Amino acid sequence: MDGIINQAVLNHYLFTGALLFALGMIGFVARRNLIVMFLCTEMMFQGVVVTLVAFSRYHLNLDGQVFVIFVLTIAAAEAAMALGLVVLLFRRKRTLDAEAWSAMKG
Amino acid sequence: MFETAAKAVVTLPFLSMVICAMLAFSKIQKTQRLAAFITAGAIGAAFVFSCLLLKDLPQVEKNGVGAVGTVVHYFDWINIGDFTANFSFYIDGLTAIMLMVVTGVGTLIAVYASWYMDGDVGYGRFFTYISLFIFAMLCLVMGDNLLLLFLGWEGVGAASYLLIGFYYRKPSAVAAAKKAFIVNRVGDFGFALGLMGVFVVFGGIQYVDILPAAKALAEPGMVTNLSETQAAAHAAATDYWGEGKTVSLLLLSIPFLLMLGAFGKSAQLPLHVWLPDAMEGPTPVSALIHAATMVTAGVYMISRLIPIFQLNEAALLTVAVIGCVTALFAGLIALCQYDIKRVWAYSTVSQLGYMFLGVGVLGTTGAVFHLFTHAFFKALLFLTAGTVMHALAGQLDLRKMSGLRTKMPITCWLMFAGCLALAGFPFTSGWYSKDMILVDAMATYPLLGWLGILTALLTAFYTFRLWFKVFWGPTDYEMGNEHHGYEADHHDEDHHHHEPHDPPMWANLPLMVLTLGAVAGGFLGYGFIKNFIGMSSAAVPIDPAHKVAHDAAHAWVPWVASAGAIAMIGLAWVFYVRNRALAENCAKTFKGAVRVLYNKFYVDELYDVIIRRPLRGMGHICHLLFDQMLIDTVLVGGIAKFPRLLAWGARPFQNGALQGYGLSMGAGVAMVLFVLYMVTK
Repeated sequence: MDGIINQAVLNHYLFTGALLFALGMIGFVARRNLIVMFLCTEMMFQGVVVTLVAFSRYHLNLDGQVFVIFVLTIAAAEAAMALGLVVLLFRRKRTLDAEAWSAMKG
Repeated sequence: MFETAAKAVVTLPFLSMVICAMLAFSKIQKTQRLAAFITAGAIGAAFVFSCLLLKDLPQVEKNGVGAVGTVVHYFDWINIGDFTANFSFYIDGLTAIMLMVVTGVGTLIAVYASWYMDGDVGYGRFFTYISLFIFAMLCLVMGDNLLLLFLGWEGVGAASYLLIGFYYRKPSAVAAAKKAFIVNRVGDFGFALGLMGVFVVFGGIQYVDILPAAKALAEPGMVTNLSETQAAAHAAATDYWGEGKTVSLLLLSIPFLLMLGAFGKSAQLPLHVWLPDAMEGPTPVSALIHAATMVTAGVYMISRLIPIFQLNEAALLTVAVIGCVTALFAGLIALCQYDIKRVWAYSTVSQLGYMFLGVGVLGTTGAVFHLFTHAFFKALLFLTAGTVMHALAGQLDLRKMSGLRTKMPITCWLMFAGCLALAGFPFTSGWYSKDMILVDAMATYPLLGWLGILTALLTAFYTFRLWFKVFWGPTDYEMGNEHHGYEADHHDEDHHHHEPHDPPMWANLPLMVLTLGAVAGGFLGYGFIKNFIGMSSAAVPIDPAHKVAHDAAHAWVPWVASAGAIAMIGLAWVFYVRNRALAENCAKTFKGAVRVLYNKFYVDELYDVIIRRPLRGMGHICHLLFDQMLIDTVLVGGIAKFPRLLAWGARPFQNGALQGYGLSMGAGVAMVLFVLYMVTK
């Protein structure tokens, strides 16, 4: 493992990760479409993943990258299940609007 | 032998109760019939053992201080430190007489009941209760301490409650049962306090200790050679009432408290209201419990504890006055009742009043003698009334029966014998015993004596009013509409189509034995009872001055009373055989008085106004204040409202909008990060 990235390079990576995370967050809150909201959460994942890889490189520690592999695996499984759920929800109401599922309130 | 007999007397009815209960639970109608045989057999055997006790009594009697009974130990019951209350029996003359009455009359009534209750669905249950009653009553009269007396006292109360409410589908029977139980609680409250008072004062509750100790207090110097425990009880009581010391209020109040119990159980004036209503029970029960035995428990208790009552003149005077007033009061009410059993019930209250008058003037012999003879003739009167009721399908109204002499001749003459004894016709049993009380009363308090004679006249009149009305005059009757306390079932009821008739001979046999007792019990029992009371703790020494007054009264009182009684029987004959219209005119003339007497002096109504309604009102207020406001609203309702209140605060946060949750989650994370950043900077 050669070529340690310096502080300035790290900052760029971290900025990219934070941007992805923030965009995902905004998308999740702002959009009503369930699939888009789901994709936004995926984007937030990727923001975290970029941060983890950057730190791993910066500290020369592989733990971060191992963790990223885990996250990707689980994200894949989760994506399969969540999309299935979304389809089921769609079948119930014939719409993807999240507002349609606001009956569960106090 | 003596000890075995004493134990057997109590054990047999207990076993009979257990077996009958099992038969009753088995619900097999065929085996239910066995219950009557078992009960009658057990009580009969107890009677035989009582006779054995009686026979051996004089030999075991002559020992110890004055007249102290023999103690037969059965088993240890309560032994705590100095306090002893064993399940053991105290047997002396008084116990023996009570045993004869309870088991003797009990056997006869059980035999009669086996006919009377025939066909009743509760046959086995009835005899279970009867056995329970006899067992408890025997504990009451045989117990050697006040606690065992109290156990029996409550036991007979429970049996009485169960039997009054025997026809539990009938609301009036259930109400009467509750009334009897509740009124008796008032008396028992006093009795329990009196019992505790005796324990505090004497340091024990066993008759062998407290009776001689009380005697030694009442007549200092008369009683010597006290045993160790008796001397200890005497010494303990001396602290409350010794020479030169002020008399303790506790010691003086004991007789009054005990008296309250006696008044409750024996239906004396303030607490008499339950007995007439108790006639809702089957007639054999009225005869056995509410005429012959249980209601005399109060008389027994005061006679047994007469040394303690002697310590307080005022208490004795109260007993005498209440007894006398009750006798007159109930006699007056009996004049205007139309229900046969109620006439006999008021008559019982009245006769019990005589007994209390007797013990109140220290004439325990007369009182117990009257208890003895009354058991025979009143049981006879109730059972013959039951026969009439049975024959007329539950009809009890005097106005709806007349001239039954031709239909049921045997019953007619059996009741006649009972009526003669109750009226105090010369040489019948009632004449001997009632006059013994009247003489004692006349010698002590002439006013009470005269009131007693007046009551005797009333007694003769109302007794024969009933007899003449039911059995003489034109034959005319109206059938009732129930059978054994149940509304008659017209589909398979055969009693309605029958003419009124006498019961079969074997069922009449007990009545004939009772008739013998009612007619001949007086002169046969006179010497016997006197002898046995003389050998018991109830014996009261007579001082010479009283003896003179007594003899003077004895010369004329019986003859005046019986002449009056005969005159009254004649008057009843004029009114109810010769010219019934005259009686009706008379009743119309004194309409107001008749109404007051018919309504029993409005005592029930009075209690309703001064006790029941205020209690109800208080209950209502408590219900509003505590139940509804405090418990329902504040406690239960408040606890239920608290989580709702919390939820009301937190509810807006769960608005169902998915993005909202995301935003608040993100904002939360941001806030945590911000705080962390500020802290670590």
